[in-house]
Amino acid sequence: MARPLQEVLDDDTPRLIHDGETIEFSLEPQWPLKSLEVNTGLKDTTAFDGSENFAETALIITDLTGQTIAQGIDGYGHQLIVGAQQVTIAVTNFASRPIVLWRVVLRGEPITAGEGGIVSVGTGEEERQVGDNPYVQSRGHAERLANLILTFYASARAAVELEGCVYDPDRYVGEVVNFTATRWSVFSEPHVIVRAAHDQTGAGASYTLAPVEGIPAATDYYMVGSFNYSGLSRAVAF
Amino acid sequence: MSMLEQIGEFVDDRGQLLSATDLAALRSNVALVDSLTYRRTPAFDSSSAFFDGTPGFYYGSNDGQQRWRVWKGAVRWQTGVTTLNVNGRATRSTGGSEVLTVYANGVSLGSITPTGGAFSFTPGFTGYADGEIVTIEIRITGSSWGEDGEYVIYGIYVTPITYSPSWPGVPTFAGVYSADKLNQLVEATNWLYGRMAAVPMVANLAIMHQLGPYRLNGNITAFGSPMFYGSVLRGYTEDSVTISVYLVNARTPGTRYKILLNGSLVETGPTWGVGVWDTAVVVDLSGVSVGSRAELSIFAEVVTENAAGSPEAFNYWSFAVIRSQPDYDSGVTYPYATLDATSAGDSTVSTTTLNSFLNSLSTALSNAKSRIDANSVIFGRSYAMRWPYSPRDRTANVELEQHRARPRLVRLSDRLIISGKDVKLGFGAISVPVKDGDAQYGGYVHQFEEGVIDGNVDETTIVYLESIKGLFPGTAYLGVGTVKYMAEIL
Repeated sequence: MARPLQEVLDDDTPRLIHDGETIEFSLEPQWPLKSLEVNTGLKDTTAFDGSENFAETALIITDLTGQTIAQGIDGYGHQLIVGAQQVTIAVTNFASRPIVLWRVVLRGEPITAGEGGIVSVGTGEEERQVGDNPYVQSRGHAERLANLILTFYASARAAVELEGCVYDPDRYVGEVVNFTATRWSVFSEPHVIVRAAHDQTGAGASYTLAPVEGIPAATDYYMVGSFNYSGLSRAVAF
Repeated sequence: MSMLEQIGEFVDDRGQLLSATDLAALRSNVALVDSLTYRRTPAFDSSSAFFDGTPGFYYGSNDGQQRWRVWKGAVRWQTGVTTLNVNGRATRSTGGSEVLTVYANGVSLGSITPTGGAFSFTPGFTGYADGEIVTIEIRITGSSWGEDGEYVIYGIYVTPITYSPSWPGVPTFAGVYSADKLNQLVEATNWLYGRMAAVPMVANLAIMHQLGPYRLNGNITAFGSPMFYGSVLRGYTEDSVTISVYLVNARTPGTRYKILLNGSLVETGPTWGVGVWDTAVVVDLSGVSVGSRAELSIFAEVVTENAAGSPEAFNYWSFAVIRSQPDYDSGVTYPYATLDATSAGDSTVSTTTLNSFLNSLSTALSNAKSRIDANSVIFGRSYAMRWPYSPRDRTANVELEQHRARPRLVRLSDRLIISGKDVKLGFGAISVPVKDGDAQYGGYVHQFEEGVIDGNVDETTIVYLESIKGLFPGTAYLGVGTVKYMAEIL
């Protein structure tokens, strides 16, 4: 979440800049920045185009006698490259004498993470925990993923190891195939290929299958698109 | 930053399943924008007690105070605004020839001639930067005037409110759930939210402790001593006015409040003796046209005084809430939209049910658009905020006067525009320090105070309220410090 306008970076490393010299350095604020304060006000970091300048208060610069050096053709100039979590500053000395950049103080709106949460779906003694994922940023998203995981893992699904098969280059991991094993009384039941390997000669292959009987198919659901479902009934997905 | 739930873009014929999570988020967002079209409006503050300059009491300036000031505050200019609107009523002082001059950032915009009745003053109002906080002041000017003029400001606001994106309209669903239609629902919701965000929800002054009379001769008008003058809006059919009344009475045998609507007495409080008292008063607005404002004034009256020579003390009156809203205690509410329930994930539903659900969202959005269009008094104006009641120019006794009445909001959104210097937001329980056995009501403090503008330099900034711990949606909070403008935006 975006935090209020505040100081986001305070670097007090002295940097000597000789007459006519340009120094370039990068600083990393503690948090990613939504915006950064420049001389025209707050500006979103995504909108920086290289034409911005800091206000005079951001860069504390004097000459070696301690006299303040201002921005401008008789003082110093600077250019900025601003990303979410890195600010690169190039300062050029126009003052005709050595100057020192004493301090960099930047203000902006940082972005910090909110408190994490936990969602749980299903009931029963067996439990499967899924770790944090930085791409999951809402409760709804987390619940949707948890329900999908539950759908697959709620029932025990014994893996089927197939050895000595003829290698078929058209088979791929993730493909759903119908599997028949007469001795097991399994007749044309859908299984997903979770492993496929061929031997050194390429003549034989082995596969690992997992049964997916009972797991809903995409066609069981309404889909976004041009199809007219009038008169039909489908499920809405998680 | 928006309070709407984020919904990813819908895409046609790419295997995207219609998800219960997305449908629930759509429904939640529609319910939110529908509810936001009913905006409870605080009173517009005109003036307060007699010693701060109020109708009938604009006397003397020999103590360095400025009782020629009728009103001072600030308004936020935004792109598209062309006009400042000042409404109210004004009656000249006896034998006076005064006019009321309106200043913006110290520059005169013209004058209002008191005619004894209502006035509407609408000068051009351009030349400011988008988001600029402009100081508005109304002073009594002219060659001569007395103390007994009557000037009540009903509203100060800027117009028009412009919002440039085009209304996307709403879809109708009949078995096809295409990306165009679903995305259109999202766009319509976002449009309504953005349209309402163009109108700030401006704070009004919560009277935290105004000094009330303690002797019969303190009843300086027929109704007592003035505590508040301003106006209230009947923005919706269901609106009445809720006023919270709180009294700390240390010495007076009998005192009470009186409330007038458009100059007529509508409420007389019970006579309260020594003690701490509180109540909530609901003032009926059925006699006020929907979309109109009415003058509201509150007085404190002494009914019984102490015998001569007895110890005496001011009464501390608080009217922290003066707001138009339904009379909830009587079961009145705004007519929020009725939306179909969301189907559970992985459950089978008929197209009839799904069509009805999605069409109920479309209907609610369409009605919300019509409601906003029809309610120009709320969604066509950006109001000004009055500064603390004071005849002084914020140079003396500032702390005390800020304690008496501070800008107050109830958190509804995530963003607060605030202008001023050395500003904190105060919320949570209020406590009063005790010194030598006496409660220091003027020194009340909040349980939580969060600094939002540091230092002694005027600044205007946006505060993201979600980042302030404990300031949950629905929490009331006050601007503490020198607040020049305070308003939430969606």
